[in-house]
Amino acid sequence: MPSINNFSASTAKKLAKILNQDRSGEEILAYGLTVLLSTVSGIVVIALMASILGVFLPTLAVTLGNGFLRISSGGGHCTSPGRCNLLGAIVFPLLGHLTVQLSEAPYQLRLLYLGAALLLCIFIVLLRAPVLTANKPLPEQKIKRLRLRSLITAVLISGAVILLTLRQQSGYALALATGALWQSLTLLPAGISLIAKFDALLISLSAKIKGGDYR
Amino acid sequence: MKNILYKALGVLAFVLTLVAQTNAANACIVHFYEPDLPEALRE
Repeated sequence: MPSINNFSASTAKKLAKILNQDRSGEEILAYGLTVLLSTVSGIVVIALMASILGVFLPTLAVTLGNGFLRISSGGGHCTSPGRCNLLGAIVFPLLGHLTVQLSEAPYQLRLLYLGAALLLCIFIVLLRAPVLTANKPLPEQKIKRLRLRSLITAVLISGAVILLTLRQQSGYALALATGALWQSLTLLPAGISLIAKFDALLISLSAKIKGGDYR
Repeated sequence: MKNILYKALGVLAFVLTLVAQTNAANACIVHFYEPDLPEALRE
């Protein structure tokens, strides 16, 4: 099965040859294409799964809450775009479904959940962000900047959640807060380990089924 | 025709470079996968 990585590498090689780019230019093109394809395909599979489950808009709000924070805070990772997309296609529509269920809970309970989710999110971000991977080393100065940006993003998301709640849009408020909470949980060692276990499980499953690796 | 195709590929390369630089400057874009950062984008 052709992987996003292999497709990006071969496409970048051809593109670099046509545009007379050197080896580093080719690597940058391959990196950009991998990031673009894995992000777009991830969004498509999440939207597809959410539509099938009938929770498209709540899932979109969960993904936005998660995505805004993830840009600066980082978090746990899978080791291939395919497994990453599969995880997103399972987790986000499920969280979208959960927030739909939660929006039917009594008002006080919803407020309690929102307060707890936002406080926990800010606390974890303050303690852990950013969580980076070994294959993307960043200088200390940039890490400090990302830490500050993560905190600002968490506070801005909290502000948006409060505004939505005041405007009687608690369904979207719940979804946004849940997305941010899930993202902050992926900053914790337990969250990173959970994603790594999911990754390892898929690797072993695909090896058993096809005698190969699912990418 | 060849000229237009060449320009279109140039635009594509520009967009891909921009995406690469954006991802390199941030922790990650909305996904659970992080490819190896190219040497040219390391600081």
